[in-house]
Amino acid sequence: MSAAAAPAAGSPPLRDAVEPVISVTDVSLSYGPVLAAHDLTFDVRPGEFVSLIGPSGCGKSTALRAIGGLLAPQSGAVIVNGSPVTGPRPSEISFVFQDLALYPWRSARRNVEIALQFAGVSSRERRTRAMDALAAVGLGDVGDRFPSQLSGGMQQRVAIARALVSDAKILLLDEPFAALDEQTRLKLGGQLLTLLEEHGKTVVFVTHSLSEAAYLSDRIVVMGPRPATIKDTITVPLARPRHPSSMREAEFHSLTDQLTGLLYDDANE
Amino acid sequence: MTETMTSAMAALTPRPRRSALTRKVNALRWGTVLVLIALWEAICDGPLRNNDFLAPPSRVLTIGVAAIAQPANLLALWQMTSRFLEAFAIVAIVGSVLGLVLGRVHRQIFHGARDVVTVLYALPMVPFYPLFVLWLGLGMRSEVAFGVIHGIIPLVLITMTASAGVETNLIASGRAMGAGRGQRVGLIVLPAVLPEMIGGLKIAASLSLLGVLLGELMISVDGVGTFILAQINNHQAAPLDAMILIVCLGVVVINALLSLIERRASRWR
Ligand SMILES: Nc1ncnc2c1ncn2[C@@H]1O[C@H](COP(=O)(O)OP(=O)(O)O)[C@@H](O)[C@H]1O
Ligand SMILES: [Mg+2]
Repeated sequence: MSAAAAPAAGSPPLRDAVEPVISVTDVSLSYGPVLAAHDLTFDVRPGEFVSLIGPSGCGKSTALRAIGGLLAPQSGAVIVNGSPVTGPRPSEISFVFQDLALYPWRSARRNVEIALQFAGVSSRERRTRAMDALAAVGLGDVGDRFPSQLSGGMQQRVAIARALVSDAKILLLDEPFAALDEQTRLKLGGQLLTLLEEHGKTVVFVTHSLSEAAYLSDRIVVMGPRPATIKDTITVPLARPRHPSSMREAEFHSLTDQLTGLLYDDANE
Repeated sequence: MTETMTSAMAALTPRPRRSALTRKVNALRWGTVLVLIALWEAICDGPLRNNDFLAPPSRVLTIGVAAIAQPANLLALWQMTSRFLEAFAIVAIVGSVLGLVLGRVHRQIFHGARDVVTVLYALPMVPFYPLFVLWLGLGMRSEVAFGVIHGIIPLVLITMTASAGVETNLIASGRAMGAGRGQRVGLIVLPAVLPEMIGGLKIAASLSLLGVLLGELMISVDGVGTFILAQINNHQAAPLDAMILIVCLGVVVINALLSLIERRASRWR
């Protein structure tokens, strides 16, 4: 509990005074007999970009599923906007899955529309909002293509457009750029960051890339191997808005060094 | 970003033209049919002259077709067709629903049911037909039921296997977007399995027709089966062959129609 009250000792007092939008308290998660995460505690404040980082298979996606209401915690509580999460809350939380989960039989536009269709939005409004969302991620002219006709990066942007088309203020992103090369990933990440700031979104971002986490985040939650436990929560010292040149600053390097140290410990155990 | 987009567009190959190869394949296909018909004519005019079961095509098309055009025989054709249509409609509706239910309600139900249905599929149904007649009486009802039992089993098997195999993340992302149970089935599972389901309907159509025809051939008072038996007893090769040809033609037409729908439903693959 004390960890939740003072998650980052170094952050300015004003930030701590703000009520968290997401607060995860002593959460353990399991799949049947398999314990996937143990005693997770962290919180996310409005407008914040928080990354979960850790070795693959440690339970990052699992933690995200718990916040999204897709997996009930075995113990502990996930609280979003002041009330415990017991199931999906599409009007408050949107989710981009690790494998994107685009519907291959639907065109890019209709993949974006389906989020609104489930919410009962009329078909005319669906169409215009979907086109706007696709345009916002730079895909204004490929709305009629099927996912199989789009490159990996374009598919990723369709999934992001689908998450942005709803008015949900919380965005859960599970390794959205994992399939891309480092340059493209950081470029798309930077563009995403701008977009999210415009929309005033609160983001929980899962990644296994140190530089991506350091470049994009306000805070980084570092997890150990399965069952995931939190090893440390680090506040990123870089100023906003971020720019590719941020990656050349001394703070950036000392941060990635620190992260490497935290993650490398595990590899030796 | 534009770079990735243009390269992806270039990767989209244009629809291939009707090539010389397709023309050759077509010529070969229709050439084979013509050669076989000519061979058939030659054999029936030569070594098999005036046999009781195989008339030459020239007589099938004249005497045979004229015999079938008589009202009583057209009625027989209609009886079989309407029985088939009724059986197939029942198969399509009940089989699809049953397949979706058995595939999606619970994993345990799926595994148990799959074993049962697989055994049923392997069983020959013909010995059971007298039981159908005892239960449902001589005529329409037992013939339709026999058509249903032949067609429904493969459709259920194919639909349940396909729907149990729908990627869990496609459904989880639907839940995250607020889809209710009905929407998950109607907007996610159903379109995902539609191509397989139509493939199953193709198999079901020919097997339903087989069931109806078998019923009419074994114990019945009317329909195409009875007509065929009468021609055999009276040594009337031309009407017999004409009726068989018409039935075959019907199967080809149904199959072609369903293939057309299948191609439309799997455009995204
Ligand atoms: N549906 C599931 N059933 C059983 N075990 C699972 C399931 N999903 C994930 N796991 C297990 O839980 C652990 C954490 O998985 P995950 O959260 O996907 O890891 P990460 O996202 O960090 O790579 C892994 O060991 C994985 O094998
Ligand atoms: Mg994962």
